[in-house]
Amino acid sequence: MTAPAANDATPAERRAALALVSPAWLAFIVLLAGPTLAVFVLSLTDWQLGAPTMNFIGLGNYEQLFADRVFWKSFGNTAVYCLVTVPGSVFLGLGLALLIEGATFGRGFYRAAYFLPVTSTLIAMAVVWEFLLHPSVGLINIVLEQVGITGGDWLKNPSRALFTLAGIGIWQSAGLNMVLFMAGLKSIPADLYEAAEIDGAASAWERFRCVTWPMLGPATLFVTVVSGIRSFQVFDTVEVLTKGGPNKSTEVLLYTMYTEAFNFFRTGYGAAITVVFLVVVLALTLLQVKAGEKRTHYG
Amino acid sequence: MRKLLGVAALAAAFVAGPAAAQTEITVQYAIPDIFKDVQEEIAKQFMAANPNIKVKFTQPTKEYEDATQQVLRNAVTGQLPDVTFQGLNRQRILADRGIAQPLDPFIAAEKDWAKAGYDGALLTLGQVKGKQYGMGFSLSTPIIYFNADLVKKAGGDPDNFPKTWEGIFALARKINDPANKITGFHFDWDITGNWMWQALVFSNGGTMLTADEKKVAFDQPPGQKAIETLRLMITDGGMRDVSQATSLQDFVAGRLGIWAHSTSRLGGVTKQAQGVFNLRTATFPLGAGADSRLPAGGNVAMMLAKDPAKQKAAWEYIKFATGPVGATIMVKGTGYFPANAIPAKDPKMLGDFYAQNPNHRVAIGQLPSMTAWYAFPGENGLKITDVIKDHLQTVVNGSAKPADALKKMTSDTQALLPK
Repeated sequence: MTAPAANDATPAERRAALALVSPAWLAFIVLLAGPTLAVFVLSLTDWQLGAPTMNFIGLGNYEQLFADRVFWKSFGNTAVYCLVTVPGSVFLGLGLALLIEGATFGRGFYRAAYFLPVTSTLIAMAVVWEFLLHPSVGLINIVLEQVGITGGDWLKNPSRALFTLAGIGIWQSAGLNMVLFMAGLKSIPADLYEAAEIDGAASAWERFRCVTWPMLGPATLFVTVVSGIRSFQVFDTVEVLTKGGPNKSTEVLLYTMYTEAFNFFRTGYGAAITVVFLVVVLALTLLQVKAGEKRTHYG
Repeated sequence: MRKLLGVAALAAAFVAGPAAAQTEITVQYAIPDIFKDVQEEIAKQFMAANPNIKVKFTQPTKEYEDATQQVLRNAVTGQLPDVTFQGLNRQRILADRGIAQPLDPFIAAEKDWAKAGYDGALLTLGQVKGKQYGMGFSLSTPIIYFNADLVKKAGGDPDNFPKTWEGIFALARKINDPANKITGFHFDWDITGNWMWQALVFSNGGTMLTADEKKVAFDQPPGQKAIETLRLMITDGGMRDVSQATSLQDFVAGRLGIWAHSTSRLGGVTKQAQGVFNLRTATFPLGAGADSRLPAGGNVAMMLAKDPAKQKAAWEYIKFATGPVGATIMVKGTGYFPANAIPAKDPKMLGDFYAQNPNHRVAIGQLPSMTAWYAFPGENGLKITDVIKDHLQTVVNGSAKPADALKKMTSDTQALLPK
């Protein structure tokens, strides 16, 4: 944009410009690029935490990784978790935003109430969930019992545990999505609704379909990307509530990375998982942004 | 201002003066909810007896796993503690990486070592490939805890507690009372490092690997019997698939009849059971007579210091903590037993304690069957324990037949062993 101007700049101006961007660059290199590069290099070695020697083994870790049953299980679980959590929290967030915006009273209260899970520490909240989900004395099962349903064990049942965690994930991120959607709703000009009404969009649903939903395109795209990345990073609830169990049914990518690197001390192997994780997150972001650029209507 | 600073510096130098002659050593330990008071008392008494050595604790870690993790991280950053207390099955990692210092030269330099009370068999628990890396501090063994009130109510005799699993399961079925939320039996099979799995295999006369550590040996008859027993705990003993936290809560609340766990909790559970129910202990069922073994649990003191002066101080501390004085403090504060033979024989130290606490004496009776808590060799050693745990879980939740699970567990473990 301003590239030609830079060429016209005097040497003094250029030096000043360099000096001005250098803190940002330094922070980027020290905090992001450097560690990422280090992780990549480590992933090509057989280094174990605390070991005195380190050998370069090329792609050995990756070969082992792609043949590892646990890795694929973990990868699949992470994908399932995302596929449940992202739509769940995006639509719940949208629904909440619409309801609260349409409310005639108590908006501030509801906004705060639904935003609370976002501000609380997930580790602490996971402990609260543990009590709620306790098979015999937990509130959830006691309530279910009142209506004649046997709740069972939410976290120890292998076919259910991952979805229980996804439910907690939705609860945690719906509030943030709600706030983002509210910001999106505020930016829709009121005259569009009036125009739609004149054009015959009489029902609330028609107005939503013709005006609100398309106008929320950029917000929806952003919310989906952020939710996707956040749910790909799920770790806290797994660590506190299930430790990846029972039988790896809630093993997710970051948890596998953590156990390999910090419980089994196979640092090189853990680094390889991190690289895979970074690649997936990057690919997801690029894909969604690219797809979004074409289809999203930037009002 | 400058003058003021000068005075302050002078004062600081004066205060620090006498301390400069001291050697300061840092000590790290795990599981503060069991060991905090004990460790601090030992350090206090040690410093009173050795005024020239100052002991400083680093932040204790919650579990043995974190303790090893912290030492390995410290090894990278060059901030190793001088003495660390590590789980018995973690010694191998620190020894193999050259982080821990062998203690043999220090033992050789001791004049009256033979009279120091370190029993030969118990010393082997701290050895890795024939070298002494750890000095046993607090040892534990798997035992049976039971609620004597519930046992009596079910028609059992607390003084003649069953010595076989069959007997225990039969009794557990009688105790089982779902209407009143009382469970008969629980076995904490998922204790870290496959400890209870090792107990089942060793007590049937088996081993984890062959003597050359090249091949899996738990697929042999003792292992087959062990995995069948694990399944029978559910089908015959009425055990539920619950976490260790749940079984502990149930037991201390008087809602669990028979509980197989480590002696490490004996101190705490005794306190919690007081006034709630009559707590008793019994020996772990041994299925192979004289060939039966039980894994020792607990932790050892290891030396990480490299500087000779610090090494000397660290060795003094290790001897004190694992010796008669430290052992006496430790036993009275926990349920563990010591790796030093002197205090149990001295009525002033622990002799009277054991006479008055028969529940603690059961573990001492199991001493002859004690063997090392096995750590798998190679870089996948810890991953193997995780693989085994996963397969055991399939037996406990009934999703796999015991024989099939054992077969898979064998092939998965074999694949992770060093070639």
